[in-house]
Amino acid sequence: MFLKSLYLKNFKRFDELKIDFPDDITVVIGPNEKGKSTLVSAIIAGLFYDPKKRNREIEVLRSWQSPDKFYEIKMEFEANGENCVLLKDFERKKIFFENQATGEKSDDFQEITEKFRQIGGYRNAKLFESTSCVRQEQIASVAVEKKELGRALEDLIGGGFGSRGFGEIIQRLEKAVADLNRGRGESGWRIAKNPGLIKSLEDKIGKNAETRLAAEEALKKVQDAWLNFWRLEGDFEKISKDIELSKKELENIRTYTSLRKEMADAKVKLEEISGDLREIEGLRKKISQLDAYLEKLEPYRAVDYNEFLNVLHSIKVREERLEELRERREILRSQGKKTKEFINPLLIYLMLPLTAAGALGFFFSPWFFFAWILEGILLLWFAFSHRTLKRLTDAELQNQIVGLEKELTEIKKQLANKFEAYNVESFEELEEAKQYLAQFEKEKHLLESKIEGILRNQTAETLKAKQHELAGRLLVDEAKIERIQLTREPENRDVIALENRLENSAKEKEKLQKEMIETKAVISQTRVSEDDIFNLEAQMGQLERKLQKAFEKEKVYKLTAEVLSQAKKETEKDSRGVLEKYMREFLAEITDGRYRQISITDDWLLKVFSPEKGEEILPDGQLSQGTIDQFYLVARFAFLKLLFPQARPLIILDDPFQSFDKKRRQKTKKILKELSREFQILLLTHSDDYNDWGTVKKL
Amino acid sequence: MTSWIFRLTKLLKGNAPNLIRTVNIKGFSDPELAVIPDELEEELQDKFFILRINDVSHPKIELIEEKNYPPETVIGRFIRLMKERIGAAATEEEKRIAEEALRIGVAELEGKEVIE
Repeated sequence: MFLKSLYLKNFKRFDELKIDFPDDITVVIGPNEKGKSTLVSAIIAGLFYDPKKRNREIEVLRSWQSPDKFYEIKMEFEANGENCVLLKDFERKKIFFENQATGEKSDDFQEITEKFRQIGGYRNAKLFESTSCVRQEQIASVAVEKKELGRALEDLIGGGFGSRGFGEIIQRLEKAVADLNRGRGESGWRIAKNPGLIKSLEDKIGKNAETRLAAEEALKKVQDAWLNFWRLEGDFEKISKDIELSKKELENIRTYTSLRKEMADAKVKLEEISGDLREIEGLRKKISQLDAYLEKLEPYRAVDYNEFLNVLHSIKVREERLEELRERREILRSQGKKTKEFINPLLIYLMLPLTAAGALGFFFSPWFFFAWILEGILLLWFAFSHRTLKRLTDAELQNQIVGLEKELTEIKKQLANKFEAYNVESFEELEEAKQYLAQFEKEKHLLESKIEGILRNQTAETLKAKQHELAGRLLVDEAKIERIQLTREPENRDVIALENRLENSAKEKEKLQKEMIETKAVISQTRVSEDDIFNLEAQMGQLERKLQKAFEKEKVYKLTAEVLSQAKKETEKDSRGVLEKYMREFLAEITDGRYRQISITDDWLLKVFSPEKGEEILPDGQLSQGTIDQFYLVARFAFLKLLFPQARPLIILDDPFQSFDKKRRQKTKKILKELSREFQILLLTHSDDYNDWGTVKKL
Repeated sequence: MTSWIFRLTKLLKGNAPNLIRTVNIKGFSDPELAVIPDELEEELQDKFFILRINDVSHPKIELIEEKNYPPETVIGRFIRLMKERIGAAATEEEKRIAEEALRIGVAELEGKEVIE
């Protein structure tokens, strides 16, 4: 397949242009900025661009004269002796293909592209540019930059898409893998300052795990502390309730005991009061009896006992006088006398004390002798007055007796009347009544004193009120006791047991409270929450995902390097033979017959057999740069042949031989002439030096 | 200004003549919409003090077609080998790794610096 003609309309600088191409070499000559490169762009656009699309590559090719308009490209090809036409109208966004021999037509871009790929090997613009377009700078990079030929060839089979060599890519992949793993397996002083992503992530994961473990432990501690706190709180509440119950129980017992005691005291008091009241009642009854007696004896109160005594005394005196008189009368009568004389008893009564007093003068004082003087005077007075002797007669005695008897009878009668008035028969009875009165009064007084003693400045009503109050209180206390509801009668040991229990419970409660405070302190000091763990887990998840991605990246890089190496090896194996064949074909021409054997090593080193040295040598150091450039040019053709084994591929040489001298150009011309048997060559140049290289087309 | 440049220019919002900006174009790219960083930098150089555009985008797997890459080239061979690996992957992870390796390899061979 070769390009027969190219028609352009409104394409960059060209309003309209048509060029016909032979199947061998076409030399397009034009000064700089006259459209040589535009021609290359037109061929690329014609072969590869979709007129229905609008992108930078398409847009930059618009007409300079009418920038609002798009362009039209028409290409004619010959493939296997059949004439084909390809028309791309970018203005109308139309494409059309026709095989004029077979009549096959298509307006589908994909279908047409696939057809060109099959018959011409044209795959995409990039590949075409990198393989079919040989620019001056590419030759120059080998020539001027002293780029190794092997490296240039390596780039060529790499696909020629970029400026980066295969080795560089492998190195970068290996470096990326090494960077990822930097610092792994190192420890102590060998720890890398800038660890790789994997090491860094592993460290972070380890640290996160440690932090999370610590946080989990802390959280566990807090949770345990909370559990402990709640248990303590439960115990605290329980023991508080227990204390309350014990206190209540103790209080009940104490109340019960106190009530019992109060009741006992009240009962005793009540008994006392009741006893007192009963006693008072009894006493009052006795007093009433006494009052009744006293009422009866009341008349005896006014009795003048002295009067009675005087009467009785006068009766007795009279009776004694009467008796005396009767005795005297009896004596007188027994003596038979009528009269009787006898010393005056008064004289005797006076003399005897005076005699005794005068006798004291001998012992104490002479003054007592005056008693004898007085006695003497009295004796004298008695004697002179005839009072020394007395005279008693019977009649007188009789008269005196009768008189006395009358008097006595009268007095006794009066006395009897008086006794009758008091309803007694004798003074003894009266006296007895008097004694009873006194006794009863005394008894009454005693009883009243007793009552007073019992009442103790109170009244019986007060006592009764107290009795009533005590009875009421007893009832109330009884009701209180009933409400207390003890299972059994409390004993002192119960109180002691309860008090001990309370004391122990209080200590336990205090201990629990202390433990609760300590536990709360532990909880408040630990500032870890489930959110922290969750965040750490989330971070861990992110880190693990990142680590997984990093490992994946490592695997990706390793796999990329591995497959790239494999691809390179296989490609080299396949291409090396073709390249060697082409190079060998032109080796003698290029080296003026100096070398005839050439081979490419596994390292893409070109080795030639030196007949002088009798061994293979590396040409880079041995061959001139011009020779190497020509090798490169041949290699480019060889590679194209490799890509398009059946077709007649188009190769565009964009003025690549500017730096060649005349001799080398002649060699190159020969080589191109040879190559033009298999390739369609389009040589773009500004120089007229190439006029005889092929069919010339001037711009 | 063309429409796709306009779109990219919008992405570069906040432009200022005294601004130094680096733009990394990431993700999966369509070769049809391929960005040429040097040309774009040149296009937008007046809008920034310094503008650096790095195309580190990966081609979409489905757009990496063997037919566009001759098997005689390393890239063509690489694509075919990788696609074989992808087809033979026993697990999703293997497949994912192989696909990523394919993208990276192609991008690198096409001159992009996508290895981090």
